[in-house]
Amino acid sequence: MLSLTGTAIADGVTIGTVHRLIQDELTVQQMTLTSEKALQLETKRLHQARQSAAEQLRQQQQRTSNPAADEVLGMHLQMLLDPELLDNTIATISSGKCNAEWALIQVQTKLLDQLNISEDDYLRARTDDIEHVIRLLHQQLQSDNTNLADHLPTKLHDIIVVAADPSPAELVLIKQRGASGLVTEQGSAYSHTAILARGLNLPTVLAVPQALSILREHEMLILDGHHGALFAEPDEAMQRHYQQKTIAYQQHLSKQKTLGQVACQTQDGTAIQLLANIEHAGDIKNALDAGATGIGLLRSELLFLQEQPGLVDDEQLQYECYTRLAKLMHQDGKALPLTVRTLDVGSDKPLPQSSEKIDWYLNAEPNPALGLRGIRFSLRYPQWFKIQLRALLRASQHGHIRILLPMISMREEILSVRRLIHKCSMDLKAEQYSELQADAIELGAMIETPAAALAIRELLPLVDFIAIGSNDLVQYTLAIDRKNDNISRWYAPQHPAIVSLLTSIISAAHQHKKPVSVCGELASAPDYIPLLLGMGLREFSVHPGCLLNVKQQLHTLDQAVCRDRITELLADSASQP
Amino acid sequence: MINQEIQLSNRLGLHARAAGKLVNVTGRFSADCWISFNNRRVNAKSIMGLLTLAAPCGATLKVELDGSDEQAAYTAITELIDQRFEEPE
Repeated sequence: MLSLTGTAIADGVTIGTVHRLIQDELTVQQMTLTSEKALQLETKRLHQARQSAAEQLRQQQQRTSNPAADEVLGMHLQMLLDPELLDNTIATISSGKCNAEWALIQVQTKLLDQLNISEDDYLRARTDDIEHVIRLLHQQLQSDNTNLADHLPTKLHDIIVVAADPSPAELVLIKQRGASGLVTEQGSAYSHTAILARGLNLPTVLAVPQALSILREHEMLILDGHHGALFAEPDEAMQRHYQQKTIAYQQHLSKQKTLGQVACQTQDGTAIQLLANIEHAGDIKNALDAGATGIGLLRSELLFLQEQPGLVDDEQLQYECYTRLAKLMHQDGKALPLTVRTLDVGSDKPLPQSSEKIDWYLNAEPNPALGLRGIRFSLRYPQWFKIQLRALLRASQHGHIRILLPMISMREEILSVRRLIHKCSMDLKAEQYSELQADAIELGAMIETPAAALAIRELLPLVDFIAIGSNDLVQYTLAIDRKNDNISRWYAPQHPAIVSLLTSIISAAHQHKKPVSVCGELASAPDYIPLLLGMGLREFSVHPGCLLNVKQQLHTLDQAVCRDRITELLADSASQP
Repeated sequence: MINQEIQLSNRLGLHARAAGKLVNVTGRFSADCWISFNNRRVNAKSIMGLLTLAAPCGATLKVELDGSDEQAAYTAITELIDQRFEEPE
């Protein structure tokens, strides 16, 4: 047995036989052309190669139904048809009096030199795109080496393809022909080939040096995409181990496909509301596709940042923006809740760009975490807060909008907001919005300060719902900044203080019959989800990308077992001497 | 002739798909369009040219436009960049 390693880029394991994809090395020679006619012929060859390469990419793009593949192939088509690429190559043919192939090499070298200067890994990885596109042109120019489709066997079932540096177009073809996995000698985790391998769920290990010479045709190969490992000619024990893993992976894939449509509940049938934390309109579709039953947190300051500048002090623009989002939340005739957290800024968390107006008010503070932030800022400078409240009240006529207040630590803050909302809705009614039912809008508080957590029974009667911001609550309670490397290892959400604090917030909310969700990272942390369930939590608000995983885990959990674990944990910490 | 500065705020900077979207916008207009970053100036209708700028998040780009529909082109370009190329974060 021989084991090799490379870069792990896509999950998934597979067992298959090796097929090595040997493509002729590109050998380009410089030809010096003297006659004007010969140079014109080269230009014509270039045009033809460009057209037939574009035709190939177009056909492949039409055949694929995968959105990621469609996008990447479309982009390569754009690069292929780049007007400057054509003009520069033609100019090089005539100035260098050379053949089209040689001119292409000159143009490519110049492009790559410029990109390699970049210090950004992601952008530098775009050299792959340029190389792949120009290689396609070379293949068309050298008519004996036309295209990959002719090289590749038409059926690749149970075959792991080993290739030097396949382009996205080649990857799509390899997947279409049924290959079970892919090994490459080159390529970075940031390349579009890597991105597509993930998008197409093709188990892949990248950048295995010398793979084409080490691996032999038709030999058996295990590919572990999760660990970036390969095992050639595996022994029986290894084979058995990976056969089971392969089956589990296939089941995982088919489950994920159907999981979006399934209602979220625990193994014992306890219904769970799965909500999403979002930052812009694009997330809503992903969230609903994955089965979210609402948006538990829309960070409005990020919305301001992404939309037009000036949104922060333009009521009409904000109104249109919230309305558009609220309308996206209509599903099967129902308006699902869209929870908008009001502006959450502080002197350590300013609004970048377009917001000098607000930044001016956010003077540097010696201790910003304990400074003018969240609701404190909004109440101190109500000119912006009123604009946001009015826009939200107006937009709430078009959907189920809920208002969530960040950084609440006392009753007076909620009462002040209630008064402001009342004033805004009276004003709106007096203006032109007589039909406004603004007093009915639901108002919630983020529970993220220990003060709010400990005084939760005082706050609950004043709000319609609460959302526990676990990131800040844990930081403030433990007095640990988890971004500070000196102390971050003591950032422990399992601390008895946190477990008992969360448990008491959740049970107080249940007693007051007020909905409670957790919208920090704890809600999607695999080791914390059972604890939250045990504390009685029934609403989890997580990043759209985590929805399916959280749902899958909840399906396997038993609510009573988790509750007993919490009871034990709390009893243990109480009985410590 | 328009000569303005605009800042990139999407997480990945002017990467390949973003550059593709920008070319789709600039290609709709007849005005000549140039973008400069780090002392290099490229044709904003060329995706390869834009890619070689390797402009990261936070980069300030200089946009030059010249042509009868330059104002409309400028509006469309700023809209795309301000919307962070419609990318998820």
